[in-house]
Amino acid sequence: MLNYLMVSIDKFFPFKRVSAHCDIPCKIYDPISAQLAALSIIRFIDQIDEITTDTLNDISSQAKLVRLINEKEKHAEQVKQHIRVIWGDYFKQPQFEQVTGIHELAHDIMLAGSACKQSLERQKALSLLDKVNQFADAFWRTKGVDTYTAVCPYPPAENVIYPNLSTK
Amino acid sequence: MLHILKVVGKSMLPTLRPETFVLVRATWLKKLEVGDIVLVKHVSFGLIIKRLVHLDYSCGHTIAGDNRHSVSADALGKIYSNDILGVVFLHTSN
Repeated sequence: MLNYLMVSIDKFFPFKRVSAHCDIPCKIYDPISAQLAALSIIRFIDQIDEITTDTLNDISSQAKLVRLINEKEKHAEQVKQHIRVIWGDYFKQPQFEQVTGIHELAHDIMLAGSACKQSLERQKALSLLDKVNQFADAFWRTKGVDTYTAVCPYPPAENVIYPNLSTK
Repeated sequence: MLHILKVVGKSMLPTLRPETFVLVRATWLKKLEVGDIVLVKHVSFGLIIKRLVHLDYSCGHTIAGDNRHSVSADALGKIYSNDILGVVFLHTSN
């Protein structure tokens, strides 16, 4: 009875949807999300660096600084989250046997991600990107896909590991 | 304070089937307890519904789906009290 009532109301005034997210239907895993988030952190640090102490007196610069710091921390958490999902849900025994040291690498990324939350040092963000690139290389290796390194064609113009899908 | 939502996905099977309606009340109306089905605003997965399996107010709570094929608790990461928007207190059966 209650369900019938809800269904009827939902037809005319749809209720908000909430996801009981499950892995079964999708199996879509790609480390590019983590790589883009890591690149974004570098970009945010560069933009923060462009705000000088002179311009910081301006209220709009202060607002921009707050926004950039918030985004930097959010993206650092996203890197950790994307890596956790691939490491925790995609990697299983056959992949662990293909790629040695993946547990240590995933853990290093967790630490490097946290370091990027705490710090404004560009070097720490570069270190995070390097580790995420290593993770991406390992991921594609488990799928039998060759990778190549190229400078991403947008700021911050850093090296990124890409899959060479045409050779698969 | 009170929300009605429609469940999409299978991670809470067998407790909540897809298209079940859930009634959720704000967390300040009820103290969180292990075993509660909670509505969470997740940094990566958006608005999700999961079960609270471990309470830790200092280092973060743990949530998981009832279905073994749900995204793992590790992948979901730690959840803090302000990420929990409400607790399910009633749901329809379809």
